[in-house]
Amino acid sequence: MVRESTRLGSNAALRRYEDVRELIGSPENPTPLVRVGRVTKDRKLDLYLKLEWFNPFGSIKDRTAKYLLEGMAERGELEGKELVEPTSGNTGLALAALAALAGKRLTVTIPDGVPEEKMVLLRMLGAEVWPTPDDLCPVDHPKDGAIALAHSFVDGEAYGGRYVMPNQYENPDNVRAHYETTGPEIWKQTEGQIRYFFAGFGTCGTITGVGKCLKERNPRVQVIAVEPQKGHRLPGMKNLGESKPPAILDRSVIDHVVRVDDGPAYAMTKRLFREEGLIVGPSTGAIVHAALEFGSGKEGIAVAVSPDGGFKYASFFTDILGDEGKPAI
Amino acid sequence: MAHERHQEEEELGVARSIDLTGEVCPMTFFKAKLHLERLRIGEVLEVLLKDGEQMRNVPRSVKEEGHQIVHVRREDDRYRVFIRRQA
Repeated sequence: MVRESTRLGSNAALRRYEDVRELIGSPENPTPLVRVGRVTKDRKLDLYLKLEWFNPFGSIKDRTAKYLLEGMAERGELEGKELVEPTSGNTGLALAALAALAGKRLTVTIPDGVPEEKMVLLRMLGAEVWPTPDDLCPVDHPKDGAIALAHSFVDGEAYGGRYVMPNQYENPDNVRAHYETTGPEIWKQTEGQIRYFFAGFGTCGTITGVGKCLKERNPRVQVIAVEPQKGHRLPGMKNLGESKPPAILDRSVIDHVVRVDDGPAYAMTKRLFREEGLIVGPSTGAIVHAALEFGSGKEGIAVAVSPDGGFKYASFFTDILGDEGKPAI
Repeated sequence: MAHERHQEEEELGVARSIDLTGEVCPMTFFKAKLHLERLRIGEVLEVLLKDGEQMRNVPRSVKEEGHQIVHVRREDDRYRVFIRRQA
């Protein structure tokens, strides 16, 4: 007697999934939008935070990694190849998880300042991790040592063309991920009423993709980019004066750029923990600080991106806490 | 790496020998740096480099890092560079 399969299959309404990849944010399964009501008290700005750490591998990069790999697979670029990518950590985590699920090896080159927690997680997912100093070649090289090192795997004769790079800084599928998922979700979740959108400069996929999406629907939506200071300690963000602007950045969708220093970024991160109960990464603090500064005196619905959560940043937070929270004796 | 060493090179006492001719910048310098870091201070790393960009950049970069070039020998279009690890 043949036993019929009793598999139930996926059912998004019941939050039951056949595969962890189905949890990656999409219009069918959007990441949550949560009001930031306490730090915005006394303001007319209606600020919502899009919690991208609800993605299965912990960050907004899950969307990017999915689109990068699917695009490469469709073009036949993955067959028999190994993957290498320069990444601050989150893209590496997402790529490592997806690569592991596809039976592929991943090598990641990581810049200075990435927490130990992220490197260990990458290795747990089976990736080979190359920590790279930003000023790798002391003589005359660009500051982004990790990006250049990743290219060395692709271009070096020693590797016989074995390596391919998804290349989140130059691959238009990065922008497409946000144009097709993050942007439409935000539009739908704000019922078309969004007036201000805030995201950080990093690979610039989010600001470009969401910016394009929102402006196509309403040209009056203002798109504000958040830029960290030079020499910042905000993993994932880029100051476009000291780092090469990513090829995928489309500045025409950006209306304003707000610069945020590390101090205010971390101070706001602490406020989000304590006043809003939001366990966020420090780039979120930077983006929310910028939103409040820019939004001062303004009204309407605003959405800021929270790219990742705070669990991987214990070593960073230790630095800003000093003796806070230790027994007061 | 199987090749003939000259007498003075034997006397240097090479601890480790690597071929970087198949690498491109910045991996060329990065691998030299990583291998140097695995030596004890005073030990010598032998590095095979191509003429051109590799020879223009790598010896300068390792000297900027504080290491010492103790010997260089040309072999057609390649160079054997002997580097002593300093602190």
